Amino acid sequence: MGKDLLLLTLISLPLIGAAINGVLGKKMPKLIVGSLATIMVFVSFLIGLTLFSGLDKTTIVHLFQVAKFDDFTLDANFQIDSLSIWMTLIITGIGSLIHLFSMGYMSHDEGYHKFFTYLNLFIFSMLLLVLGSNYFVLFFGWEGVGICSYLLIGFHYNDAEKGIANSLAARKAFIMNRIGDAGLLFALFMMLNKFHTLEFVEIGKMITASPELYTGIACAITLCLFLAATGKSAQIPLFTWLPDAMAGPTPVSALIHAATMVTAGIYLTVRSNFLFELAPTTKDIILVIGIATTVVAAFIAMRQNDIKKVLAYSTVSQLGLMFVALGMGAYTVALFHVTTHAFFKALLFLGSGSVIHAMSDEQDIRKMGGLSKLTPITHITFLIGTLAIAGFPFLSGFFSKDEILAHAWMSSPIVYGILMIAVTMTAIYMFRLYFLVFHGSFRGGEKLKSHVHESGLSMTIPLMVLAVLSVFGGILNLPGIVFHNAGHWMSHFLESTTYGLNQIETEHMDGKQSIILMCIASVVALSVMTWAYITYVKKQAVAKEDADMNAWEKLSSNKLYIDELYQTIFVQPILWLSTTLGSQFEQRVLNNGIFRLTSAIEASGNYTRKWQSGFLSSYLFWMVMGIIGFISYYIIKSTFWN
Amino acid sequence: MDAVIIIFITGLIGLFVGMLKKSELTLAVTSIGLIGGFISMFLINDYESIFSTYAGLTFSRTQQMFALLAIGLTLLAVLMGYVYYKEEDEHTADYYGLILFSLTGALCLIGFSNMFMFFLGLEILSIPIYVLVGIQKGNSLASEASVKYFFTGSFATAIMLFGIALIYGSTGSFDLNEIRMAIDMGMSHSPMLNIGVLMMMAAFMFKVGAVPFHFWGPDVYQGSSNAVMAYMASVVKLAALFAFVHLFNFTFNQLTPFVSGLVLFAIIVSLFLGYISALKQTSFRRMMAYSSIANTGFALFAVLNQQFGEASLWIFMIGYACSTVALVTINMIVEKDTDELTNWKGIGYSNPLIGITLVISLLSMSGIPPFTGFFGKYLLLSSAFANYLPFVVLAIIASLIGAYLYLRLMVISLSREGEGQKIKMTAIQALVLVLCLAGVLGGWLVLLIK
Repeated sequence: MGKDLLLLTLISLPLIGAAINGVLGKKMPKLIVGSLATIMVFVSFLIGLTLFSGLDKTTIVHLFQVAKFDDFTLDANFQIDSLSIWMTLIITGIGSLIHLFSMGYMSHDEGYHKFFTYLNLFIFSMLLLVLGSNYFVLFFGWEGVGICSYLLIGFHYNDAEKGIANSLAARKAFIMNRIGDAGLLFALFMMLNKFHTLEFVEIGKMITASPELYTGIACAITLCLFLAATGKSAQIPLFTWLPDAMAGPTPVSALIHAATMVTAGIYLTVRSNFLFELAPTTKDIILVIGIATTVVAAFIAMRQNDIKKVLAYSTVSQLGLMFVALGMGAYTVALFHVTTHAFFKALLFLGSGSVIHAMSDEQDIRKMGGLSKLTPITHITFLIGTLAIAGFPFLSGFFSKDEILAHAWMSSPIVYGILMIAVTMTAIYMFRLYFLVFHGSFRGGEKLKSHVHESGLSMTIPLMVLAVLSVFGGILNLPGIVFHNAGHWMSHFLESTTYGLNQIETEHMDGKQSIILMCIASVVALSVMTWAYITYVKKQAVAKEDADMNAWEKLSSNKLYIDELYQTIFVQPILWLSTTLGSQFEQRVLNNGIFRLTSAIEASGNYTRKWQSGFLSSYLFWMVMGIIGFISYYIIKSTFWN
Repeated sequence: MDAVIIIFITGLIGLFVGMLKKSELTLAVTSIGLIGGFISMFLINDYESIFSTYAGLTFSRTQQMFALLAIGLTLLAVLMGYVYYKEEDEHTADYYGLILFSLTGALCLIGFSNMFMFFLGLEILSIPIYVLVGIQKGNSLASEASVKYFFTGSFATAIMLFGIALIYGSTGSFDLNEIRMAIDMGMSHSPMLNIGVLMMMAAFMFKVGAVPFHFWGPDVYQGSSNAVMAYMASVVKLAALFAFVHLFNFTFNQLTPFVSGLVLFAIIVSLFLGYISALKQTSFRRMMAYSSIANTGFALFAVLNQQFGEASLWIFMIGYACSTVALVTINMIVEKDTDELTNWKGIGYSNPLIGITLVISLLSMSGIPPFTGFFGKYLLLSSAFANYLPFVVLAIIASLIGAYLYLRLMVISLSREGEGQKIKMTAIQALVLVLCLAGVLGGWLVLLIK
């Protein structure tokens, strides 16, 4: 099979899975529904591997023309290059593991087939997003993942207790994303206006040919693109939806709100690197926003008591870290962190899912404790995930974070210093979470304790695979201190065929400095670990109740009051405007006006129908009048018509 | 040519078969003849006819399309009339025969290329209709309608002949090409010609039912049976409109700027008067009559569009005629003693086919995409957009009133009040509904072929 056929199969398999499950899923046994969805994604992964191994140059596959206008066309084109294939591998690889996990996790759920339909649809949209060769297809995927995310966050919308909250969370995510989407649309229109095409490579070539022509517009476009990225990737100011999105089932949080969809903003930025390179202002803004997000989110995460909320804020914080890398122009480094983060954050979320499953849907860490003996596999894998994200030496997170820190050090020691604070906070909240959940004594009561059990194989296998990946993921992009030839393999791979990246020189730090930085990072991670161990295990400290907190802790626990702020500044005035318009304008002006108008028109019917008298003589009279009218028209017209 | 002959002969055979008093047989013969005519019209350019060609009757590609549509719509009218006319064995064959003769006239009116053929076609089309309207002899409304139609119709014919005579007098020819050449040579300001053209236009407006020559419409529609009404609203209107558009776009195209004012006036007045009067009607057929006046208003935009007028008219007419035939068929199914709109209450729930056809036909009539009615209106209005913008705006406002009218009918038929009533529908009526539905849903696909 040719590459194009392989690619089309790769994209369409999840869609076929969604179609089959969507139409027939209700009548099929759960095992078949789940397996079908999982296999579809897994086969896509295998095809992705095939394409990956045969990758030599950028290939563009033309599927069909969507629309043609005077000076531009919109095509459904797909692009095979190192960036798109790399993202495909992450999406389908992690996606199939999470599908497998969901087969166990969702086994008691009524909407089983619906869940897998949405998941497959999500994978399809995500593949469109990363494989499209122009912003148009990307936009399709972008909106597709948005709607899937909405559907999945509100998946339990009819839950007796949390149904309303779930729906509100879904709505919030959707609205926040729409704000970002508006940015993307603006960027698209500007690009169409300026370049008359939306193809990545063509725009890139135009810019490379004469960069000085485009500096002004590039700044505007990239700002809009970045607005889109802040929506999808949950950066300040649009980040509040992501923690709420944890209302969705846990596999969804793992797949969509940690590993794949939220990295779409980073993908978008890396894909448009040629534009961002022209706009240093935008890059500075990205850097600042990234730093702010990573610190703020890490701060909030320290005093959250919902196991998934901690991980959610941690995701926001890590995404901020990636944007810091993007702001410094280190595109491949950001993608390296995307990759390792996908491994360990998926692992952590699935681990938390396993915990929640074991705890009969209890998510409050104050009610957990001592789970290490009750759920041994979950415990070990969760520990690995924690160590990876906290930057324990030689695990995947250690390497990827170290790269970002190294770049920060090269750009400015202040940035480095702030990032170190964020990294330290990351270690603190993660170890706090880990020790509170798995060590100490069980705080949920005897009744709950008797139900706690280790999850089934379909849930533990993905955990183990992800744990292995989290440990060894760093090999992908070693700093090249020991094995010089193996170093920065991933950066070189991505730069090989992705347009734009091959023209950007990524600086790498020399050996001595990077060893020093690594040592600092290791020391921080290890000391935080020891401190947390002493606090939470030796001293048996438990998360405080709200009343006992000091001001800082309250600030963190209440998420810096950002939700309340947005509520006051944006939501309330809009609601007020809406109700006012509804009661005043709609009721009084529109309703009355329209009813008056229609009754006036209907009433006029009473007059016009009287013309139809029923008398033949009158009909003939009017016909003659008509002809006389015609002749008079002629007379008038012929006087003036010449 | 062959198609015209086949249909005429089928009409004759049908009259003889009718003596057997077997209405199924008559229907079968008529349908086969119509299908034969359709096929021969479809393949008109692909085989050598045994009849020598006559220059007065030629079918270009567009004319062929219109002829096919006319034959197809006649088939629908014939099929839907079966249920009604089989109860009156005496007249079954008369009904089929007259419809076929009238169709012969319609085909002549579509394929004409000189004034002889034009006038013959017009009369052959009209005279059977006068009879068909009054065919229910016991019904006093029908007799009244028939007489009214006949008198006003003869009046219009006289005007038409007057116009033709004046045109002949000024250009010296009956042949369309020669008339056109004469106009091109500088006749366009001749008063005799201009008056003649205006006379013809007045007669045309009578035939298509535009204001102020529309008065026959409501009375005649109400007096005639459903089947005849469907035939009049579809085939007669189609043929007359085509002849109108063809004559004014092809032969009198130099005079378009001269007549445009009158045409626009007729369009706007027809639209508003038609829709506004329709709002207050309680009888279904009177309502449809006014709606047909308004739709004529839309169709007349084709007269002003020389480039795509005929093609746009075709699309518009397939949408309008299919919806109308579908609605009339439904009216026939639900009709009790009278054709009051109250009969329609809740019928949308009685049967899925009726419900779907009804809703889609009404949506198409209101001009909502992606149904054929929308594309017809869109094509007609978009070509007029550049030159006659204010009138297009007025037409759109009128079509809003129209949408109100059709949606109100939809509300009546979907009201829960009459829910659950049993409605009997024969297989043939179901077939007619399905065919109409196909036309409303897919008629615009022809645009993709052209």
